[in-house]
Formats: sequence, C-alpha cells, structure tokens
Amino acid sequence: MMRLPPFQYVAPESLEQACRFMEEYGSESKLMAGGTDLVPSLKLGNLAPRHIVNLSAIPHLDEIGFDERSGLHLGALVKLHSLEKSPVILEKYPAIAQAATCVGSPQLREMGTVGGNLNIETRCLYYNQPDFWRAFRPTCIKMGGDTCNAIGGGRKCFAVFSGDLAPVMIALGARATLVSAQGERNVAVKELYTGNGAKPLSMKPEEILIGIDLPAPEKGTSSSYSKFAVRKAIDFPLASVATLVTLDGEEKVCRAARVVIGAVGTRPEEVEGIGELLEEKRLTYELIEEAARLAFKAARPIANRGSSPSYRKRMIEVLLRRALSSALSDTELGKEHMR
Amino acid sequence: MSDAFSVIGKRLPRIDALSKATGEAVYTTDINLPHMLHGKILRSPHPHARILDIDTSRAERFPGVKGVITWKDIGSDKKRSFYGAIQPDEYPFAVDKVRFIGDEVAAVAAVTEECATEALKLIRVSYEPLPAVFDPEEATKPGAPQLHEHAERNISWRLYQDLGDVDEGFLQADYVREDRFVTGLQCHAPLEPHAAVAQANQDGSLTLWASTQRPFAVSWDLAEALGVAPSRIRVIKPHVGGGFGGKMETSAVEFSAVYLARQTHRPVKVVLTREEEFLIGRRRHASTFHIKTGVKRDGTITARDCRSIFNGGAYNSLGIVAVYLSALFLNIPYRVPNIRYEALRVYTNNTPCGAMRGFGSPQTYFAVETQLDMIAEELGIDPAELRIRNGLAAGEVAANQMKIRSTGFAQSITSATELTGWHEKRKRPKAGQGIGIGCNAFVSGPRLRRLPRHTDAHAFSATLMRAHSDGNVTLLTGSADIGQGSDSILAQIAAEELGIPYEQVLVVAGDTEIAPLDYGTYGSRVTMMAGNATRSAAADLKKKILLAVAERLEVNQEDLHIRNGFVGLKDSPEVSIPFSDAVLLCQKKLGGMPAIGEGFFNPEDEGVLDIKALTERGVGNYSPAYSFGTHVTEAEVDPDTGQVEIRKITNAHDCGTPINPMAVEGQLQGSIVMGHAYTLGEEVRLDEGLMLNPNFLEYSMPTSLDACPIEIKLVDVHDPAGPFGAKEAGEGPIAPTAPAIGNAIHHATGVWVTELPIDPERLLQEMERKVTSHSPDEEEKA
Repeated sequence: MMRLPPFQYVAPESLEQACRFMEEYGSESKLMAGGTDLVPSLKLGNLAPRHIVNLSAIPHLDEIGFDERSGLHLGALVKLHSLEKSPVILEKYPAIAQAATCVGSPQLREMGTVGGNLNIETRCLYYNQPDFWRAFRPTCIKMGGDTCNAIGGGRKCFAVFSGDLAPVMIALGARATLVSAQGERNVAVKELYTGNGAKPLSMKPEEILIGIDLPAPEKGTSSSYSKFAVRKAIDFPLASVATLVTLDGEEKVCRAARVVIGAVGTRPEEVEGIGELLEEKRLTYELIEEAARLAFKAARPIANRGSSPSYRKRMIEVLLRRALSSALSDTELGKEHMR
Repeated sequence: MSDAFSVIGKRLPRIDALSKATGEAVYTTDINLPHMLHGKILRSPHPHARILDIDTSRAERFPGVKGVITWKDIGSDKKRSFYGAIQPDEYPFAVDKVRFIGDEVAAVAAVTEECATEALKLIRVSYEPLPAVFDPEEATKPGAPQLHEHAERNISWRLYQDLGDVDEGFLQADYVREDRFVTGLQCHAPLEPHAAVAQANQDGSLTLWASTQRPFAVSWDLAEALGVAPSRIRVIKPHVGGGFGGKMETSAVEFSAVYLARQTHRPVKVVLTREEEFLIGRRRHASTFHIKTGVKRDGTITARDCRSIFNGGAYNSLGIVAVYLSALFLNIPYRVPNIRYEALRVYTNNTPCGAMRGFGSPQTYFAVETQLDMIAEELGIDPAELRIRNGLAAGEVAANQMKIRSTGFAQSITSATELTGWHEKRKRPKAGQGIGIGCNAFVSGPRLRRLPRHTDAHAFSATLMRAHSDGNVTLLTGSADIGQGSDSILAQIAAEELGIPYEQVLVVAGDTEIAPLDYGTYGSRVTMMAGNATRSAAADLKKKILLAVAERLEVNQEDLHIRNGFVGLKDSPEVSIPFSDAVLLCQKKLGGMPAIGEGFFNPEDEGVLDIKALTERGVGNYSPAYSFGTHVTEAEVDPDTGQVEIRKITNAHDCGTPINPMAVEGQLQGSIVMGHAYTLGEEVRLDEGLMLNPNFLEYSMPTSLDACPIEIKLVDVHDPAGPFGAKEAGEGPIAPTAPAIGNAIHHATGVWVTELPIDPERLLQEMERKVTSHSPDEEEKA
C-alpha cells in the first residue's frame, strides 16, 4: 500500500492567514485544493514538502460571476464539476465546460478545482513512478538529478504539461490573479507556464492563485476544446487543441483566431502565425488545412507519454482540422470530443 | 434447458454476493494478526547481472527491522526450492544472477511497511552487470547473452509436432498461403495484487493465508522447500480479487512471508504494490507465428505448417504449458489432417511470462482465424461458411488425438451470424464500418496432474459433504473460487443432486487442512472436475439418506426421490418427509455417525495422458471435453485517427449445459472485455526490460465507457463428461476477440490486421497505402 509521507498540514481560514504562512514557509510548502494531482505525487514520492497548505477553507474562492461588461470570473476553488453544469459557462464559454468534462472521472471532477488544474504538475513516464521504480534508473532532472531518462542522457527536462483547462483559458485570453503578503498581481494565464518541464509553473513560492478572469465573448465568437486520449475517461490528454474563432456575417470572414495546443510539450503552446494566416480572410477548407499544418509543426512531443510522438503530432493536426471545420460548417462548437 | 432441473440452469445469485457487495468479504490484505510484521522485497535494478555480494548488515541493524532473508537463508538445493512447470529454473530469491528488472534479491520484515521499505535501501548488493537480450530471435543467435546454463541458444522449450503427411497435404491443396502474425504482452492486472500472511507455529507447522488459485500447490511447494510434511503447512485461501492465471504459482511473495515468519517467530504479511504487481506478474507471452495453410478449392483444409516463437522472459514459470497448449489449439476446432508445428519458447531478460486466461489460445487463434478470412476472401467463400465446412464434428478425433464428444461449433456460428444479420451486413457494408467473425475451441480442464512430484493415488478433485440435522449441507472442497463464482456453481450442483434448495448448501473451500486434495483453479477445470466430484459426493450422501428412509417406510429405495427439500415417494405425493428428518433417520440407522457423502472425479477412463507426448509433441486427449464458440464483431474505423470503435460483439458459446446462465454470461463478458483490451488498448510499454506504465493510469484497461455492448447466446449442447452436461466458459471466449475485430477492420478498410495490439498509427498508414495503391488485390497477394 502506498502511504503519504510525513508533513505538517495547515488549513488557513482566510486568505490573509494563508498569505502570511506562505510568506514564511512558501518555499517548503505545497498548496492543495482538491488534492487530485498533489496526493498521488506525494504517495509516489515525487514531492516531499514540509507543509501542505489546504486552501479549501478560505471563503469566496469558489464563486462563479459573470456580467456582459467585465466578463467571467472563476474563483480558484471552483470545482471542475461546477464548470460542467454552470448555465453561463455552457452558454457563453462552452469550451470551458467541454474541457472540464474531459478531466479524469466524475469523482475526480467533484474534487478537482480550476486553480488546481491550471497548476497541475508536468508528467513523464519516467517521473510519475514510485521511489523503488525510479531507483532502477539514474535520478532524472525533475527529481533533482542531471539526466533525462526519456531521452537517454538528455540534459533538459521534457515532462509534459497535461492540464485540460489551460489551453482553453489561454485561447480565450484569460488572466490570473495571484496574491501574496506583498500584494496582488494580474498576469495572462499563458504567463503561468515556464516551458521548463522540471519547473513548469512560474508562480513564486509565496504566491497563491485566487481566480481567473475572462473577457465577455464577442459576437460571432465560438470556442472549442478537443482532447485525444486512449480511453474515454480517466486519461490525461496525449494531444489537445483549444480554439477561439470570431467569424463575421454570412461571408464568414475571420476577425480573430487563436489556437492553443496542449499535452505535446512542456507547456500549453499558442500556435504562432494562426492570426496572420486566418484573420481578415474568409475561412475556407484550404485555409483550415494550412492552419492544421502550422499546428502540426508547432507540436514537438517526445516519447515520454503514451502513443508515439509522430502520432500525437498527427492528432494535433486532426483535432484542429475538425475544430475549425466545425466552426465553418456552423455546427455547435465545443461539443467535439474525441477519444 | 431441461425443466426436469430445479436448480441447474437457473439464474441464481452467488452465495457470496451479499458479503462482497457490502465489503464484508475478507481478503488476504484484510488479515491482521497480533504482533504481525510487514515484509517488503528488494528487487534487481538490472535486466541481467551477476551477484557478487549481498550485505544485509546495515538493514539488520535498522530500528524496527526484525528479519532479513536472501537466498542464503533458503539454500540453493535444486530439488527443494526451485520452481517452474515441466522444467524448474527459478529460486524464490536470486542465487548467482539476476535475470530481469524486478527479480527478487532479498526481503525484510519490520514493524511497519514504511520501516521495511526504508530498510531495503540499506541492503548493499554488488552487481556485475551483464549484457542483456530482450528480443527472442536475437536471443537464439550465436553469441547472444546466455541466461541459464542449461539452455543453449536460450531455448527454454522446443515443441515439434508432425502429424499425418504434411508434404502430401500441401500437394493436395489448390491454394496455399503463408502469413506472419505478431502478438503483444498482456498483464493480468487483478484488482487484488499478490498477498500472503504467514504464521509460524512453535511446533514447526505453518499457517499461510494467500491470494492464490491453487492452495494445495502452495502447500506442497513450501513443504518441499522447508522439508516439512505438506499436512503441516495449512494454506487458507480467503476471498481472492482475481487471478486470471497469475496466481497459479507459489511466488516469492509466499516464500518471503513464510521464511520471514520462521526467522522472526512473528506473523508476517507481504502485499505487492500495484507497480510491483505489474512489474513482476507473469504476463501473457508475446509471440510471432508463421503459418502456412493449404486448402482445396471448396475451402477444405488439407495441411498446415506452422512455426512460432514465444518471448518467455527470464524464467520458465508456467510458460512451457503455453507452448504445448498452442499446439493443441492448432488441432481444434478445425479438421486439419496434416500438421507440422515447431514452437520455441525463448529466454530473454524480460519479466517471465506464464499462465494467463486463454493460455496459448489468443496468440494461436489470432493467426489461425485471421488467415482463414484471408483464405475465404481469396476463394470467394463466406468466412462463416468456410469455418462450418472445416469444423470437427461430434465423435471425431483431431489429428493429435483430442476426442470431440460434444460440439456446438456449427450452431455457434449459425447463432452468431443470425443474431447479427451477418449476410446482409457482409454484402452491404456502410462506409468505415465492418463486420468480422472469429471462432475458437477450448479445454474443460486438463487430464493432467499439475503437482509435478505427486503420486497418482489422488483423484483430480474430491469433495466431502456433511448433512446437518437441520437439513443444511456443508460441502468441503479444495477448489479455489477466485472471483469466478465456482463455489456457487458447486452449491448449485450439490443442491440439484440432493434435491434440496440452493440456500441450504454451505460451501467451505480452499483450506488445505480440512478439504480433500484438489488441484485448484486453472485450465477451466473447476466446474468439470470439482463439479463432478461434488455431484458424486451428493449422490453418495443421497444414497445413504434414501436407504434409511426406505427402511423406515418399508419401500424400495428406487421408488424414493428428494424434491425441494422433501423426501417422497415418486408415485405418491402425499408421502413426504422433510430432508432434515431424513438426515436424522440416516444418522440413527448409522448408530449416530454423521451423514457424510464422499465423492471424487478422475477423467482417466481412457488411460493416463502421456506427458512426454503432450509436452514435446502436443499429442494426447488433453481434456475430458472441449468447448466451442464464435464472435461476430461490428467495428468502425475513424479514417482520420485510425482508432477503432467496437459497436458490438456477439458471442455464441457452446458451454455445454449451463449450470447458471447468469454466471456463464458474466464469464463470457469478462473474457470479451479482456480480449477487447488485449486487441486495442492494453500495451506493456518497455524500455530495456523496464515496464514504463505499471499502473492503472497508463496501462489502459478499458473503463465502463470503453467496453462495448455485448450480446451473448449460450449454445446448450449436453456434454457426456460434464456435470449435468456442463463445459468450459471462463477462458475460451477471450481468443476470438482479436481476430474477429481484425476481420471486421479488414471488412471496413481493406487492411489486414497482423499485429497486436492494434496500433492506430500503423492502421492509419496502411489505410492510406490502400487508398493510394492502384491495385490493392495485387499487393495483397505479393
């Protein structure tokens, strides 16, 4: 049986309390919300923090708010399950609901939160293993060693960011609010990720993510999230694509387009050149093919998760082609979910 | 099903349903004894290395540690502590060399599991790493690293079967084709990992609670190793959370618990973690088959020439059995008059492969059944029809001497095709959709004793039965219910034979101290063998009871019967004595002796099976009865991703007369889901012998959303050997899953599936090649 290692458990009842604690002990602490990502890592011995700071008792962090002017606010402790059933999200941001539905299983979504899913650790077949297994190979970079076991002798960590929410949030232009005893700062969700597989999250040790804000969708905007995995539940994505497309009028002229790919690199990656390719043009199947090629090139998975890297690249292309074709054929977006 | 039965053929709930559903059922892991210690096992980090030295002194001094063992505490006497079927080659703990990553080197018992885990890190093992080999074809080449001294070219076993006149058979053929098929590994992944709790008593005896399929085998193996009489080693099998063939052998888990308990004089519990279970569980063999088949213009098979190579891993385990079973499966369900087959099992530095549900049949039938469809297409014959034409009939004897006494093979094909609208769908496929067929045969228990150093003075199964004066009956059996529900089946058989309600039969099973010897759960033997033994014990008890009642009523015993718990006169319904009173009459007549029934079963009405002929040539009538079945599978292929969605699997299975149709359906569904996963999902990802996905997150067993709709049709053909006509149901139906899916994919896309598990990327590439190729048929032939 796998047991938790010893740690000190703290459950602050206010944000101030939490910030004060993190100011002093942040570097040796781990924040916990639903615990669905953290607890397995503790059991496997991937992480051994001195303190676990459970944020669940802090009031008002589980609220969903919306108005047409300021857009959507999601507290960091909003459960993934709440995203799936929120009427305003289903109506205005269906891609968020879709991404939430893709996570784990109903039980995990009852526990998992927005903040937790955005701050999920990167994954690798050589890292997410118990101590005795990892002892069969040299200590990897993510565990504090100096070699990558996935790429024999590699000097860089390629652990994969596999969160389902982040690509959508980045595509929709979400911003995150981080607080600490020093004050509050607001950053684009995109800025939360370093691109370093070993240390994928940019938040400072003393900071706490308390919520995210998204602009109200413009008229004609549709968003989507599609995920590729082996099974229909439980799995982390092996490839994922989030899109945001604003089409104008009968002519379907593209006014805005953003594509973010997930689970094929150390962070969710916005595909460069999509705006230049699509904006102010009529969306056509030919353009969609070009966009799909761009996404294919942008994806650089390595063999450290299930399925082959070449196949995962290909699935990025397929997911994007399907998502944009769906936007073009005017079918309801955000419903596309591949296995 | 016959209305003459009151319990047989009824959809009755299991006797343990309530205790399992409520969580009351006790498994080995639940057992905690006073002063119990926890054992953990140290494993080799190398796929192949010489052990130069093991220093356990620091671990021994670690606070909380009470015992440490290595091979030195067990000795290296090959006669005593060496295991593996047919040709033992493995010690509980590595002696001179380690041969795979995870090979057991030492074990520690400590006051807590955490303490034992920490102490393992203090054991210093000096290794001299040796070159390793993972591919079986590489391993047979000159100069390849040699794993075992006794095995030249790393050949763990070679079987050569030569029946009829193969060359003549091919001369008679109008069409011959040769194909290559490759299959992958599969893990048992039982929900309950291997677990054991051992208690060493002051008088030298031992009690062991173990998650095992064969309590008697564990008891005998330990007795041999310890030099203790088997009766002094009591093995108790609590509820078991699945075995699937993976818990047939005594393993390092039981040895560790027992040796540590003897060393520390305290009870010791050893439970594998999920990752350990995946890492060291004896997997289904990966294999390569080259199969050449000749047929007449009408599809009649004239000859078959086949070569296979099984990747055995580091030790024999039960793997040699998979080799000779594959030879049997080439002989059924089709009439193949001339067969030549060479099979090699090869040692490599991978986790050893052993027994797994279907044992040798999924690999063999993947090759046979896919190639039959290729032949059918070539000859323009309906694949279902081709199979019916070649099926062995009742009364026939296969080329290797297997006797078909009953068969519902043709009916299974007819049922499955009729239920699915086969002919219509074959003619008019929808885009991207296909329908495919696959068939199989399986055994109903081997006519072979599976305790190697064992006398044949024992029956294959024996049952004792005691009637209580309240009318209940206790059944003592050494068979092992590991979740398949066999205890309930035995209760149904006893109740039917005795004429009492099912609820009045109590089953005490899987305890070597109180039950008569039984070889346990494997080869789909329990219903056939323990079932017949149980029926025979019930008949014995009934005879004694009816004799006493007949005396009291002054009637002939033959005029009496027992129905619904009452003894009565067949012709006069008004005469009726409760079964409980009849038990008292019986005891009184016996002067107070308890009313006991004794029964046993030996399938050897035609002589003892020649083990040499079986293991070296695959010849002999292996089983008292053979089951037959057909899958018709409907699949859809995504043209962009190459992913395969199974719309439905329809399985018609000849299980003889079903004792409990609900239980049979459960077994069939389980086999099908496992086969589906073997075909499409589960993949053991390896890097130089190390499993990269040893957990439920990355080893993709299907979730409830991934399993496909299943329709079952039971083909009820009474078998003369089976208890009330019953045959196998728990293993066979896994085998047709892969070829039926592959054949459906071919129907949908034109691509033949020749490698398992099906890789969507490869399928996609082949689909594209198909589209761009101008003459796909030409390419096929080449």
